[in-house]
Amino acid sequence: MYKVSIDRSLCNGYGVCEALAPEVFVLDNDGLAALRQGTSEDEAVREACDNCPMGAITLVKVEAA
Amino acid sequence: MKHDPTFWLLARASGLTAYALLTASVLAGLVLKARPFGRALKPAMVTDTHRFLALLGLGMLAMHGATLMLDQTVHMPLAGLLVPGSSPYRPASVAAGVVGAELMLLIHVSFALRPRIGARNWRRLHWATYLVFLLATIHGFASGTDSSQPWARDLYLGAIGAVAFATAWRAIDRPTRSVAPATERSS
Repeated sequence: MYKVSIDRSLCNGYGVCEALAPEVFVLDNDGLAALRQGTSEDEAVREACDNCPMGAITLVKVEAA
Repeated sequence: MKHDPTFWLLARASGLTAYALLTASVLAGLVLKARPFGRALKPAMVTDTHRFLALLGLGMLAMHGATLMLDQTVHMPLAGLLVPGSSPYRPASVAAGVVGAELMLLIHVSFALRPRIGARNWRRLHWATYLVFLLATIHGFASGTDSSQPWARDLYLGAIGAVAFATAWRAIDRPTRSVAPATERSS
């Protein structure tokens, strides 16, 4: 399971994360990425993290309780 | 044989164009962070514009250097364009241009190096853009053949004014973009 965080000062709202993992990421009213949920087991979040053009997404792998 | 002024004119034009593109790129970068137009402009589009203007500016700088070497009006060896202070023509003000251009290239390349140097260091390095702008202004004004012309003076003053205004706007009107709110936290 991944703990997801976004550095909003880096995010420039490309929306790649939202396209790849819409369950976890959403572009908010400011046009910047926000989290729908703080953790996910979906490998799509890894793909979103790898493909963020601004490198604004951080993942921490945690063991599911 | 009469001296062909083509490269000399191209060198002056490309230098001024590079300066205008650098100014436009700085303004786009400040628009990106200050967001004076709110949601009307997509941040991703502004980012692309910002980077593209900087790349075009670097292209113009390459042309500026190449045409200066090809031209015979001032003798400019390759070393004079790469090593600050080694230009036989106006060494001090050309050095400002050389350092500014090399720093601009470094800042542009640093975007790709971000995974290696870290976002924080990348952002710190980005502050050096102000030094690039300052050096470019000094270089343009002090080295430029056209600096005594009213239109050239207006160009420099307009660029300084625009960057100062956009910087002040960004400093005063800081948008809130601190933490990402999780609309719903999963357990």
